[in-house]
Amino acid sequence: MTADAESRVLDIVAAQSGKDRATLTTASTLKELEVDSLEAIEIVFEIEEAFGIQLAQEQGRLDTETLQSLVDAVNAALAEPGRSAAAS
Amino acid sequence: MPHPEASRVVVTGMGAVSALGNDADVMWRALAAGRPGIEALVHPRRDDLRVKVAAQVKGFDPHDYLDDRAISLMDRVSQFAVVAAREAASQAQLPTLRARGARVAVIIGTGVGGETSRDEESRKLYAEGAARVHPLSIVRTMSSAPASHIAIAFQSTGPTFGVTSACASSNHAIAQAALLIRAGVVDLAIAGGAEACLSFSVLKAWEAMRVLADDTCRPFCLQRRGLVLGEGAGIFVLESLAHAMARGEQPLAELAGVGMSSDAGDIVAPSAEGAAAAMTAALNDAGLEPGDIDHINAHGTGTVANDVTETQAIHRVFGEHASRIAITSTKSMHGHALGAAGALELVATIGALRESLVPPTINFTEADPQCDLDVVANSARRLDVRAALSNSFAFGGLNAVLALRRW
Repeated sequence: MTADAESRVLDIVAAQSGKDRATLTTASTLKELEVDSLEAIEIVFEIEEAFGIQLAQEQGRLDTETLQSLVDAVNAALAEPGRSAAAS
Repeated sequence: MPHPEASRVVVTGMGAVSALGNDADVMWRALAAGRPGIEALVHPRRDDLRVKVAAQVKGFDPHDYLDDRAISLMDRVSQFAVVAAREAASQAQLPTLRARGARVAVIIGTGVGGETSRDEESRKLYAEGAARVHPLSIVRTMSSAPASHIAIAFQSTGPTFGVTSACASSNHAIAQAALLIRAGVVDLAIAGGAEACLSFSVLKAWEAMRVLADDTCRPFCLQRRGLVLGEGAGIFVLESLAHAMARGEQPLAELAGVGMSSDAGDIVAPSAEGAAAAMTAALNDAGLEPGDIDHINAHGTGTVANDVTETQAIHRVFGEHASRIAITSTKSMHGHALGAAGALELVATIGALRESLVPPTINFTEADPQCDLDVVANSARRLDVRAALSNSFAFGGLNAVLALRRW
């Protein structure tokens, strides 16, 4: 499940940022990937849509956001009690 | 050097509807007292929104000002505009005007126009499957409606139009009016901005941009978490100095100069260069030196990006004098009223010039080292303000700055 979420998050970041999927690691920050502020909120939106979740308002801050922190946020949202399995 | 006598522009009336009160005098007193206009959001869809605070106009019943027929023709944005225009006209004693008809312009800025009506008709159309929308939908929602209704109210047959440049709409509208007066096209203009943008779909759209604060608006603070939306209208009577003198009107302030620029860069991220260009242009147009400016009513949205960029721009324009300028963002009190923002802030700026009192930036906790300006924090400051700037820097990189001189 975690691996699946990670893979899907990296797919979304690669598609939105135009970077080669093979070069992405979860340690990268959005800033290092030359993602600008608008692309960052689009990435967060696409992740929310893909997983059927809602991420915190702060998610997507360029300088602090690593791809691992996005993956962690997705997993935390998916683990929230009362969520149906359908979204995952 | 100031403009020659014949082309100097003065403000002789102002009116406002805002979260701080539904006339300009009440609003100014609230600004001077540092009163918060930001409160818990009151909205029928509140439970479906993440945004929980806003600077909403309170106690505004259009029936107090307008008859049923007029109300049915107007979206909330036009109602705000007409009510504020009436106040401005009354202060400027418009009934005694010599300038009439074609010698009067009406230029009103708005970001989204008749949004409340548009959203409601869309809801009926898409959510309820309605077969038709209200027949007045077009006249209510068109972005030029506030200008049209003011022209009708004052029988002004001169140049009349809406101006739209997102959060700089008011300042662009006021600049246009000043330029028409200076060019001799009109003697007088009713100008300003209006916004009633707190519809469900606009609130959702702002939420999606992730720039809204969840607590309150704290411009230039380390703890700032974003902007807080507001609404309202600020409308002014502008006229040539010669025209005001001829009819014995005492100006509230001189609109000494205007400066406009476009970043032509990022669609949202602001540029210090573009903001600085607009401030410099306003100073040059006004014949003011950087050292003449005692106060700036900043754009100061409370977003991470704006406040740092605006600080850099102020340093770039004013050099060492930057630290001697009393800076405030009154958005901490009346919220960010988007297309009406510059107009509400002009009420604050004129108040500061007239009463030698700079309204505060409230909710101020800890200064952000990246915003190293002399911010008037939490309570108003007594200051002899000879000249001031009012900044508006919009999404899309559209900048408009007004330079005011004390009268």
